[in-house]
Amino acid sequence: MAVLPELGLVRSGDLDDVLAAVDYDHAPFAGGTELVPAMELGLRRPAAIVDLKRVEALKGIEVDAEAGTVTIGAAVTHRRLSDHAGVREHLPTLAAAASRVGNARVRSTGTVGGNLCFAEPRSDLGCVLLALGATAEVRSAHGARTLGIDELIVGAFETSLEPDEILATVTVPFEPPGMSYWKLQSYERPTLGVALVVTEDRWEITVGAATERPTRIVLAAGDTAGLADFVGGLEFSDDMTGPPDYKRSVLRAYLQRTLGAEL
Amino acid sequence: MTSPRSDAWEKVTGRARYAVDAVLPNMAHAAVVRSERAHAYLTGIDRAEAEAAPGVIAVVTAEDLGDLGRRFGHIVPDHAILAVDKVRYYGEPVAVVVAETPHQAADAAELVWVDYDDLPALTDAVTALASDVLIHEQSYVEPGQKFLDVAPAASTDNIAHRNELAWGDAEAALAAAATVVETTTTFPLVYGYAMETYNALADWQPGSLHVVSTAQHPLMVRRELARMFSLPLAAVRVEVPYIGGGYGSKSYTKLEPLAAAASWAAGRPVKVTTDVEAAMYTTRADGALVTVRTGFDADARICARDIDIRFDTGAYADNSPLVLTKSINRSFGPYRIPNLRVRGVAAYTNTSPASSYRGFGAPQAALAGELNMDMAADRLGIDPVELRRRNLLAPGDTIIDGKRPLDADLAADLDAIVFALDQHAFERDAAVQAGGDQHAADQHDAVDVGIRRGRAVAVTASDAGASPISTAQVRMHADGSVTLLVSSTEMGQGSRTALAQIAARELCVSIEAVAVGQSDTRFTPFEWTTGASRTTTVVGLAVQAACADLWDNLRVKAAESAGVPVDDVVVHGGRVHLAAEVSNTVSGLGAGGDVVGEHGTGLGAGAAGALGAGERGTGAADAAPVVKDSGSGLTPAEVIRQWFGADAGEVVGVGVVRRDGATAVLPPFWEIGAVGVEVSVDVATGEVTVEHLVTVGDVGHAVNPDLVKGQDLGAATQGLGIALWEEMVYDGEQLTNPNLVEYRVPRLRDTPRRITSVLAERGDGAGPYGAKGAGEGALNPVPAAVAAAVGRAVGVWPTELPLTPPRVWSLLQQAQQ
Ligand SMILES: Cc1cc2nc3c(=O)[nH]c(=O)nc-3n(C[C@H](O)[C@H](O)[C@H](O)COP(=O)(O)OP(=O)(O)OC[C@H]3O[C@@H](n4cnc5c(N)ncnc54)[C@H](O)[C@@H]3O)c2cc1C
Repeated sequence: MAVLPELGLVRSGDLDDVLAAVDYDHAPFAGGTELVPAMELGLRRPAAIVDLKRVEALKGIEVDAEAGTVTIGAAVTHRRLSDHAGVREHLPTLAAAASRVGNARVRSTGTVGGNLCFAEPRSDLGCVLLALGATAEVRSAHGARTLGIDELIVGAFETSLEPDEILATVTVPFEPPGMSYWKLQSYERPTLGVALVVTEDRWEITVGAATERPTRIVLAAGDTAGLADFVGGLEFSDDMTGPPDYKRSVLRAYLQRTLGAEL
Repeated sequence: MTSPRSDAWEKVTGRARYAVDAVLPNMAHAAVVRSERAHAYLTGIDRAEAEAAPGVIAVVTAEDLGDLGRRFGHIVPDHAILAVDKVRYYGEPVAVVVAETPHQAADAAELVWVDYDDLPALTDAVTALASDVLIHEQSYVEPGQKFLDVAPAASTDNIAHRNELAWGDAEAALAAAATVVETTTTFPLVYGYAMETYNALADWQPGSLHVVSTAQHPLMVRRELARMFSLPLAAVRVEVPYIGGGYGSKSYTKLEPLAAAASWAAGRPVKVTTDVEAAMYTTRADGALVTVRTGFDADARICARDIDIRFDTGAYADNSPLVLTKSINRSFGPYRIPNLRVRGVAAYTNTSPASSYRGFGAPQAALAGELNMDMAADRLGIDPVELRRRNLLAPGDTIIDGKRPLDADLAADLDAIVFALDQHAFERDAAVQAGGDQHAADQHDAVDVGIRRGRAVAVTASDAGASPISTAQVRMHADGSVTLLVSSTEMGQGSRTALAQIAARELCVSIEAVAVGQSDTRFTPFEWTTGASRTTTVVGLAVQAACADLWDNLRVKAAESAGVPVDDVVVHGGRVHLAAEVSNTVSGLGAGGDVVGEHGTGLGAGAAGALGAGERGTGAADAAPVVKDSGSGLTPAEVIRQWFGADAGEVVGVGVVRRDGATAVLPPFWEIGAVGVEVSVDVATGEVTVEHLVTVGDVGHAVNPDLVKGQDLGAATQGLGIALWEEMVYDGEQLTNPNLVEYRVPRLRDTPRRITSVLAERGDGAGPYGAKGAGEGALNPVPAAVAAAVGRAVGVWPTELPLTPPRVWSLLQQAQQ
């Protein structure tokens, strides 16, 4: 029977307490949907977990109409994100993606921050947020820095966070016209996710879940050769959700149909 | 009559007590140290550090088990409680740490250091059968040892069991056939996922052993534990409260020897639990590579079938020799086959041990057998339903010589399936014409570039019911309410409700007046097993017999109280009457004599059978006059109170079923599987959607129709899991997906878009009121039907399950070439 080892718990409503506590042996803990199984399997063995869920500063969702952005706290759950009126209005694709993450339990407890910081490749949010050009505010006891999503997520299960840093918020520009997100999800986690922003002159394509980390390309509309190169050059993972050829074929069929491009 | 489940309230409010909830005073907790090799000699186990860890009471290895039987296995006693000298699969128990708390046990288990000397890992049947490396280097079988009609091979090769069934001359008939169609399929290694994983609590004390566990068959477990500890059967008490799902995977002995040995060594009650990973290392279903060759004459009638079954049985035999034997019986289908040869081998491999699983060898074999019928129909240019009709056996026909003749009307079942499939297709087409196929449009968010459809039917017949050995006891209390004692285990199938319904009907009381408790070998009477879809049929007969016995005893008591000969007392309308009140004039009742039924069929065969009719005998059956229901007489409660002379006392009835009477001929019934499916396949993604599932519950009589439909839907859904998703994947020595995120079981969203559940009640079973079993039947043909339907949709016949999207996609690629 998987049982968790004895663990300390740091719990405070104050962001500074949390920042003071977090380090290699003191892991940030939000919904626990990834961290707990990882600890059960012995993949993570922190001496203590630092609860982020009581820190108000990490739980806000703020719409800034002037700047045209929505700022989302790292400890916001998928469910709150998808139910939030401002998110639904200004980031409908993100709201829809969040509403279809995993299963009801994961959506009710799992958080945006946990999703990005665990950097599991088979994720929707990384892909959609990268497509939206979101930025991440990262904080530690010593200060703050701002990163792009592709600077935050640097590989499979790999972020650029230092052990004493946490992700505090994600700031997302309002969704541009012509955006869509489609995913193939045969298993618990997505097999492939594709975010598109299609305008008269541009194809912005972001592919997630099937590659080590989300990958984005911007092409002139109609550049089928460029598109074919992009699809051909992606390095797809080989896992239970399917071999690379399969994922490439599904992606190609989807793009062909959606963009009307002959690939 | 559908009656709400008697355990519904307890279960939905979370108050039902499951095995995992059991505690005993002074209980300690175990953590199992499991092998990290698939095949290796054990060269050393260092436990000093673990023994010194906080809270540790004992660290137990095979070495410590002394005189205890170190191996178990009801057919082949090959199964080491804790690995002896070598390990045979990744995850095999090597040591068990007993500590005060589960945490302490788990922490200390990490401090047990095991040294291995690696051997080649044989992780599939083909490799194991071809290898010189032996997984078991000795035979454990005593000459002449037998379990039922299974005599295990005393082999030291990698064969756990071998069996054969043949008549006529299949080889010659195939050579002479007009057309021969060959099919080979691979049935995956699947795990019978249950919400409650295996657990056992054992308390050994000198001269006695008490176990609470998730055992489906408590009496089988008692027998093995008694043997292991050299105790009389009566000294071993096995209790089984509610079980959170069994599906055959909890049949026979699992964790109980481990818990008992740990308790014996630690001198404390010890609880062993498992998570999903450890459960997958405890038991799975046999994987199978099956080849079917069928010869047809010029009229598309079968002239021969030749079938080869190769099981991947894993590291220990467990129940697989019996599963193989049944798989052979179930492999060729309910068809007229003049010449047959079936050969089966169960191979040891270095993987989790396989054993019983819902369907018991039928789904494995039917996958090839029924897919083969579809491939043949294609080749012969005949509709696959028509091909089956042409070859199906009729009611009363012999399936296997010496066994019960077919007790079902399969052609009628097929008609029901085709009717439902056609109706769905008609409605869909009508909807499309009326304004666009909304459903196909909804089907996928974007990729609907191409949808292909296919449909198929499949039928199976299983020699089910297991051994007809069952006892039941009904105790009627002074207020007329009843306690029913049976050792059937309730694992969600609703047997407590169905058996209570039978008792209520026989005793003319309401179902609320019947209490059915858990099985507990100290108090509840003998039961062979809870499996093989047998409970309503076989245990139901025992309950009926117990009720008849109770009425007899009430008559005796009433006669004694009244001071009249017992022959002067008769039972009618749920009351006990003196002959003085009786008139001879009622006609229309059979020679069976007394009729008790007030509910239900009343004067029908069921009620007469309820008294065991002439057989069991009231002693008065022929002589006793029959009463009019005059409304007079005594209630059973009045008889009891009168006899005891107080508002107290109880009267008991005992019913026994053995290989006699209605169950003299085996099997007790043929369990029918008859399903149809329509699937759609997304050409771009390979995703399969089950558009329509049709099940026919050919159960003779549905004691509780909702429960039968629940069984059919559950079984079919489990079949869909195997067809589309479920597979234990070994990558080298290790299972790569020992969790429910990656071992994908069916989810709510996977349920078919439309489900038609038909009940065929033709009263043709040997059980109460003409009942036959349900529970496994609807699973058996589903993997085959889905494979055939997908084959039709994509244009290439699948050879391997599950049909995951990538696999279907690769079939589509093949189809394009
Ligand atoms: C069954 C299942 C299905 C899923 N399906 C999908 C899906 O369809 N699509 C999808 O996108 N995702 C899916 N997921 C992933 C899911 O979104 C994440 O599990 C969840 O969002 C993680 O959030 P959490 O709060 O539970 O993280 P936790 O488990 O609490 O933390 C995860 C990791 O991130 C660290 N961490 C958490 N918060 C921070 C922070 N603010 N700063 C720094 N580090 C932090 C933790 O230390 C830990 O290492 C699925 C997960 C499961 C278990």
